[in-house]
Amino acid sequence: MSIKVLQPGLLTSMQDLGRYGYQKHGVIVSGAMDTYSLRIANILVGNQEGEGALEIALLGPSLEIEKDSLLAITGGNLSPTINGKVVPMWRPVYVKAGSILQFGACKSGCRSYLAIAGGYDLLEVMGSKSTYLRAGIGGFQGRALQRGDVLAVKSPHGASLDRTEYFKRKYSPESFVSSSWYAGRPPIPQALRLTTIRMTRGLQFEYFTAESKSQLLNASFQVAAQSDRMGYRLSGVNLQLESPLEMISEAVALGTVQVPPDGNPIILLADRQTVGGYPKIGQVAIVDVPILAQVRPGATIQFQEITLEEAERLYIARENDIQELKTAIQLKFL
Amino acid sequence: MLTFDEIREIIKMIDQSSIQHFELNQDGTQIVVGKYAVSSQKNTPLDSEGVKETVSQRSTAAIQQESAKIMEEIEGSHLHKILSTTVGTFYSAPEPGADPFVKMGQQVGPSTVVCVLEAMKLFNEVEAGISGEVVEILFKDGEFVEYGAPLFLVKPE
Repeated sequence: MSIKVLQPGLLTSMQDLGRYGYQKHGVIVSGAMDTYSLRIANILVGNQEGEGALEIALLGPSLEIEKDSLLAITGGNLSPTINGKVVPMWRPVYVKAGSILQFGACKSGCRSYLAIAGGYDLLEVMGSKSTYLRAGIGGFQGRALQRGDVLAVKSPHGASLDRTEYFKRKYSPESFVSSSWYAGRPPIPQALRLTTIRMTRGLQFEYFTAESKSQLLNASFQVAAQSDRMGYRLSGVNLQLESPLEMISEAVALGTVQVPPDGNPIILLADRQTVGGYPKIGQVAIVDVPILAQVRPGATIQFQEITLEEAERLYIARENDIQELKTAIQLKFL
Repeated sequence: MLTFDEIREIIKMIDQSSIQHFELNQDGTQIVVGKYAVSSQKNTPLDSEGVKETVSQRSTAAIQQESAKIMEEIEGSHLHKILSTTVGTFYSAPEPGADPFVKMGQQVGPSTVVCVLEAMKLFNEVEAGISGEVVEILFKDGEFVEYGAPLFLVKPE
């Protein structure tokens, strides 16, 4: 009924869609960096899409699956294998008890998501299973996984049970069995390629110099090594205000691009603070946050400006796509 | 006026020579003999009458080419068709820019994935279902495929 951690990997933590409703008390949202991949992983195994899943960053763990389980791996390709055999991603995979799931080299993106039918058996803290690493709350004991940890898994029920049973019937004595179909996804950034991220203007866009505004949209930025779940620090261009700006701290959001006085912008991500006092030059379109979350430190990005209407249109289209995908997957199990 | 035997003799000689095109005008009779690639017609019925007619009208080389084509057509009927398992959009590679699942002339096994068909954001893998060589790919990326449509022609092993 559980998963045992043989090797923890670099940063493997339990995440869901975030801890909303407590920012007014200073509690950050957290949650998956790439919520698209987390949602699809859960949908594939028949869970509620916001169920907790393991977020596996850059260097993956080695896990022993102690019970016959249906799981799905999405997000960046960290070369997952089961008993040494390559596991296909973006599809349900049925594995036998005693299988070793191991992650290897990072082939694309930098974060994988591992969902399991039934979900992980963890208490919610303030309505969420997400790990708030800095405060040490939520998820698995409020921290990243360590060697020897044993994660309890809930028994599948409803759709997750039906799907587990479906693959159990298809099972032949191999290490695992998976579907002959897989879920569509936005492109996962490649390490050496420039990734384009769409954004709208931030609240203080107009306060920046003409040169800075132009550079924001024309230059490319490198994601600095000290980037983390809180935010991506960008280097390459020095963005400056026309004149010093006295600001009262105000709310920041997922994807806000703020510029501290040193001129190097920071994109706020899952573990962002609740308020900020730096001028905000841009706001990443919500559909591109999952793409950004797969850009590895050291890689380069460029911004493309879109209107708020376009960002909204993309968001609605994305949500429609996910609903369509959900329906298509349900049809596969009729 | 040339006799049938004389015409046959002329064709034979031209065929054995390197002459590509021959014209003869004699007493108001015109004979034109040429060695041209014969354009193939799909679904040519294998009609012996038709073949005889061809013999009388074209050079032996052309006849040989024609019969080679016909042989191909006959063989064609023995080619295995990989059929579409769903209605969807055809993709030859797992993602844009990636290497295609299979190329022309490639050997495939029964469980080799040859393409994916996208329907409702779900990508369905299509397996060859047979061992053999891919001799024709009938769709291009992004084309819409009907259920049961032939996707690939495979020459069985």
